[in-house]
Amino acid sequence: MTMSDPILGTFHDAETGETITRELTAEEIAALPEPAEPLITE
Amino acid sequence: MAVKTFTTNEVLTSTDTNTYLANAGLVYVTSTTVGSAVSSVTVSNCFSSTYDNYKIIWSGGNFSAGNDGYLQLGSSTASYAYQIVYANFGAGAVSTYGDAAGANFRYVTEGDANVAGTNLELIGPNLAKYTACYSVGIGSGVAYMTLIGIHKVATAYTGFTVGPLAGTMSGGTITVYGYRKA
Repeated sequence: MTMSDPILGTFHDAETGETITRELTAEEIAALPEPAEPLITE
Repeated sequence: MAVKTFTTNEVLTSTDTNTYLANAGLVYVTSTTVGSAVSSVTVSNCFSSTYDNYKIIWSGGNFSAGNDGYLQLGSSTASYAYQIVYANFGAGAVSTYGDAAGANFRYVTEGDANVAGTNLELIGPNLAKYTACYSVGIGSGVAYMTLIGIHKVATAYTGFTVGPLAGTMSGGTITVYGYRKA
């Protein structure tokens, strides 16, 4: 993924059964966890 | 409906059949297909008072690169206490890691470009009490990890979010089951 790639998320509503994949909003991006290095490396 | 013992040549009624189908011990709640190269998957309205405890399985997917996967309850980003045990396949010893106040249940999976997934249980996510999590991370071909954790917030949640700590996740199915109460 490059800086220009959109940041996507999948959203599923169990009540309606609807699933969509769309670009995350700025607020949703800000709510993502801080990127981190993996605990176990290959 | 309590467990019923059928006898030889007894007529199996539609009522009994439907009741037993509806009241299986582990009941399907919902499932979704993970999109391609997404940073997170949010499943909403999957926890309710119908069930107290849930099993969540993500299978058939992968991460863009090797990393840890997390689970977050609702929009809560604090008070996740957990301990994990992990080991590289073939290694004779296991290692441990923990956090007393994490931002999520990190390490519910360990995946890479080949495979990632998890088999986890949530105890009481829709109850206004602390929520417990038990998971076995499936993936990477390098290691496994198991997590036991408690989310120390007495709030009822109706959904969750999962994702990798960096990069993206793709494909596979996330399925949610509820444990029948009675």
